[in-house]
Amino acid sequence: MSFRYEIRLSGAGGQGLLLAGKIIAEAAAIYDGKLATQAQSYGPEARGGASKSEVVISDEDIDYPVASNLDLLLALTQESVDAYVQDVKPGGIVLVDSGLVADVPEGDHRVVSLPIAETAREEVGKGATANLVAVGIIARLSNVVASSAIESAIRARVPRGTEESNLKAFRVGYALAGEPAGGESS
Amino acid sequence: MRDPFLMLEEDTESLANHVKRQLHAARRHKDALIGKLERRGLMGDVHLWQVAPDPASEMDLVASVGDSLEERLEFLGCYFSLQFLRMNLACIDSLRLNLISPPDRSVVERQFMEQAGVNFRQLSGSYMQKILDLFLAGGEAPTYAILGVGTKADQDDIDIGVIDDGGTGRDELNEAVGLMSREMLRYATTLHCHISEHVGQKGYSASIPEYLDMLNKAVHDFVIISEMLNGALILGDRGIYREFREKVVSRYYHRPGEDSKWHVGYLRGILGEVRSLIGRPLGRERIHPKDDGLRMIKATLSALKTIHGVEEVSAWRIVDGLQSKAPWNRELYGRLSRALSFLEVFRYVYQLVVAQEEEIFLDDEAMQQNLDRVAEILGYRHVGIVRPGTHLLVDYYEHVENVRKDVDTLSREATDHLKETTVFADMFDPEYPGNVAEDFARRSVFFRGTTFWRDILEMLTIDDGRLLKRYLADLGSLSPAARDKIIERIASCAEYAPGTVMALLVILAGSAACEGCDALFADLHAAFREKIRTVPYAALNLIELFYRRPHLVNRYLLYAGSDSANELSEVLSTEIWDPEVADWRDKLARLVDVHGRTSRYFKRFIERVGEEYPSCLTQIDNQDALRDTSRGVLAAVDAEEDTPSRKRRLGEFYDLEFFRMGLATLSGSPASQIDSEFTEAADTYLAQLFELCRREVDETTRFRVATHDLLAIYATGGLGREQAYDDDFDLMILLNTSHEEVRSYANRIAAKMNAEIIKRGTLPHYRLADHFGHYVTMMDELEGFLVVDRPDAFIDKSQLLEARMIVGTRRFEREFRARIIEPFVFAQSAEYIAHMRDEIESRHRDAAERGRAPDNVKDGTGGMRDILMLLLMYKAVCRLWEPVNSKLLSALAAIDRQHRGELVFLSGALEFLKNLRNAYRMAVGAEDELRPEYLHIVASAMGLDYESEEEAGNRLLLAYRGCTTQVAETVTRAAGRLVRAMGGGTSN
Repeated sequence: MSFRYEIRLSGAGGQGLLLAGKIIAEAAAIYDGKLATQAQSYGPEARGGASKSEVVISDEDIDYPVASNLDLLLALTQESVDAYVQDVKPGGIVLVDSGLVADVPEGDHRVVSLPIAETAREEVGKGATANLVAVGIIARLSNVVASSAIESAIRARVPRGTEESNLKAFRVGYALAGEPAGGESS
Repeated sequence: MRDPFLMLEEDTESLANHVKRQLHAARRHKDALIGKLERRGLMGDVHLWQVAPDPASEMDLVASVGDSLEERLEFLGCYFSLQFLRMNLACIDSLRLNLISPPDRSVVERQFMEQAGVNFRQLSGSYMQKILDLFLAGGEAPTYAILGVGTKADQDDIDIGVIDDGGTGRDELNEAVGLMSREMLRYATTLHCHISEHVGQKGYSASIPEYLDMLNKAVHDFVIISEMLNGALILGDRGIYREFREKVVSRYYHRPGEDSKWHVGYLRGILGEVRSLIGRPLGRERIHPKDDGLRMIKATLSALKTIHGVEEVSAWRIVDGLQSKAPWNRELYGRLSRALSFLEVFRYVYQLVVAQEEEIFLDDEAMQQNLDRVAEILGYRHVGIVRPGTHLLVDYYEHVENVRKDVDTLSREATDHLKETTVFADMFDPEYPGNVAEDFARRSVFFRGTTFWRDILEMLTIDDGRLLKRYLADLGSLSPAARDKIIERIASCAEYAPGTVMALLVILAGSAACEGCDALFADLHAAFREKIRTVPYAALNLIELFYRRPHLVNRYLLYAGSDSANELSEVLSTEIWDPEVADWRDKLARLVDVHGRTSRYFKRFIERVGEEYPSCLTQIDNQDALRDTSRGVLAAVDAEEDTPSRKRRLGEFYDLEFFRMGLATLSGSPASQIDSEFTEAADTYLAQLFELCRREVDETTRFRVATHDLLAIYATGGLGREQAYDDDFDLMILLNTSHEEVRSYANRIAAKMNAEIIKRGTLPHYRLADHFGHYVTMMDELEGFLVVDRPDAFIDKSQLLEARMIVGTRRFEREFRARIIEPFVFAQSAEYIAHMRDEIESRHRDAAERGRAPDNVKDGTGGMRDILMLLLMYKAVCRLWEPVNSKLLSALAAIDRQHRGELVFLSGALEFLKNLRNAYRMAVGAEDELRPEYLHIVASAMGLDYESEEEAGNRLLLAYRGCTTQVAETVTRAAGRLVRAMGGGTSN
């Protein structure tokens, strides 16, 4: 049976969400034999520093690349969760940074609240890798792209000399999503 | 012969990691492709290991050897990947060669980028065409055009717009584009279809009527309009592309005599975007060529090309066109073009050899090495210990700074253009027949979401506010409901453009004389406050506004009141993840906090400094930076062209110092430090002002009267006692001559000083002037005055005793002491101190008879005056010259060891009372009577930590009352003892 998995990564400019979206899409399409599209925000919606990246993954041709019925929403700011939570499909996942998002509107979705930025700072030693910590969490929660494919995509995307720290961020995120989820609710 | 693929792998070691994708694709399919080409005898016709001269033709051959659609796509992907890698390797080699010693590196950079764009567009365009042909083969496709709407050389993604004729076969086209997108992601690069996505159809393409239908209703996304304006045909039908430009795109150009709403709307959107980009702080540990400069350049060029009718789509060609059509800005365009070339080539090479990322972190050694690699390709070299990357960054920041200045200057031209072409222009006519308020609201609906309204705001203020008055009158004539609706609509702009609403509020607040201004300010401000509390990203928008226009935010805060300041503090308390932005949030929050708990007295200085030195508003926690600014301003006084300019600059020095010290006081700096710094600044100001005024008088009289040892200016009163923040400057100008010409000369100087000091908001008082009728007092007159025995003589003697020389010579000082202080104060000290003791007791008695008097920190029982009078008594008895302050108490404690405890207590008490007074003046008001309801603010400024505001106020009041009670007792006791010691009784 075919599937279509829609992910939206949202937050502020500079949080590395566009790169995260590209990595997930390329991992699926190039290294995992799936089909994927990736779109990203421009223009007035990016005013005030907002940023959005969308990835659609499927095992068949994708007729329309824009995500509108989300399986997973990553929100790294309060504004982004407020703006996009209504696009999450029933039973979908709302992943938020527990240090940056205080309130997640209630609904028929599963909330996963984890200290993404803090983990990047504390465990990886680099706050700028929060996007890859998030990719690790998404990889585990969604389970639609093989983690080895994502690691290949990361290697192919990050600057030379920074591969290991970025892979570490991904792995830390992956492990974090597997821990007993204290911040998880439905 | 070595394996060419292995050689390619080795060569690509110099490129960024992203080429692993192309190596991965080539590795998977190359053997099959080579096998098929060899079997068909085509290997000699296809360049797999070199750059192909005609990739489009070779792609036909490559596709032809595949047996199935899947195989054809794999072979094409493999071929594209090999060509892509070879093309980029050749690019780097060529750039290295050309930048070894270029006569003009920006020419090389531009040529390189233009060629790189052509090469990549040719390769990617051919690839897209081939795979689209494969997917459309046999199907019924409509007429279509695919436009490239992004940077031609950009390999990270390809931004396209797809236009179709709206006929049958659109589904097939969309399916084919979707499949092409899939293939591009696998082998080439991501395709983004922003334009057609924006039309709202569920597909990749849209027809011209669909574009028109959407764009007729509102301005919409100005970024998409920029893409349309700068779109170039990659594939498809030239006719539909031409029709798209004629029917859709051309409306965004200035077309005299035609409806300008699309053109004006685009300018309001894109120029607002430019201002927003200027308003983003530069990163401290990262750079972002696109956000730091490229977007601003391209957006500005795009705006200006619609004004001047330049049809080109490449940024460099647009610059050429603008230089030809608007030659008065040739220099600015030239600088923008050089910045464009530098930033583009830097970004391009960085993405090619380091990572396909826009954001470049500079915070670790690996990235420094990466930056060095980029710099070396760009021709930078190690010089001593300075790395190539460092040289490159120096150029980077210089270009970025220039870009920010130049695009701001160019937006001035756009503002003037908007004033003439705006759809509201007819309303500027005094004879406009309609209701300006109503019609403006109706027409502005089309422009919702745009943020550049500088032209309209300027029109409101010129011509004595004629347009504003008309607007207010017309607004006032509407029904309350219609008026409220319009106000709500204006306030709703706060979501996109808080600066525009703020600027309007500031105009209204500053035009209070206009009928209706107050009411509109109140209502609009209430609606604005409501919006700011609720709209998303309010904090980020406010921070950006503060970064870009700190003086506007400051002006708004001056009018907004403390409740608004508290609300803004709440809005700003949101989580900000970006450290640079968070840093600016903290600066803004601090300014808001200062406004929320600051007296009008201090706000005058915040206002003046905010207008003249807005950057100081962003440094309010940095005393060193503020001090550097004020020192720089002082140093610049003499560099001014004329005396009025020098006096203005000197006044600014005083304002800056006051501003700095006021902030220090609000941060809990001790009075001893503040008083000392204030005295130094005030003395410097007055001494230099005297010099400037003297020069000014000399210029008018054409000769200079010698006053070397004949004239002195003394500070007395609070300034004499080295006490900060008095309401006035008490000055004595003394002459040691009876020559009338000298007095006249000194009087003219004093008159000029007087006029200047008043501008600082501090009244100068000339002690003794009321007795003699001149600013200037002659020493002979003073002697004659003091020799007469009068009951209130001790008041004048106190002024003389606390006088401190600001201008004058040591010889004059000796003369002053010998002729005035020694005979009339020190020689009569017993009588003087008896008067002073009586005065203290009399004041205490009067206060006791009045019952619970207001808590007056200066004149109340046990207040500062008690201590200062006691100090004057000591000074007279001990014949001391030190200024009357707590340091004198410490000196006395060393002399009068028997009463050391009392004196040490009084020293501490004086410091406490001064701290309280200073903080009260900065936080509440320039008054000495303490109002208990405000004492919690003072406690906060003094750094006192209590659990609640109420507790803070109460405990500070109790501490004050406890202190003054003890001071009163101590001073009464000590004064009596001094009088007895001098053998005196009552003075009468």
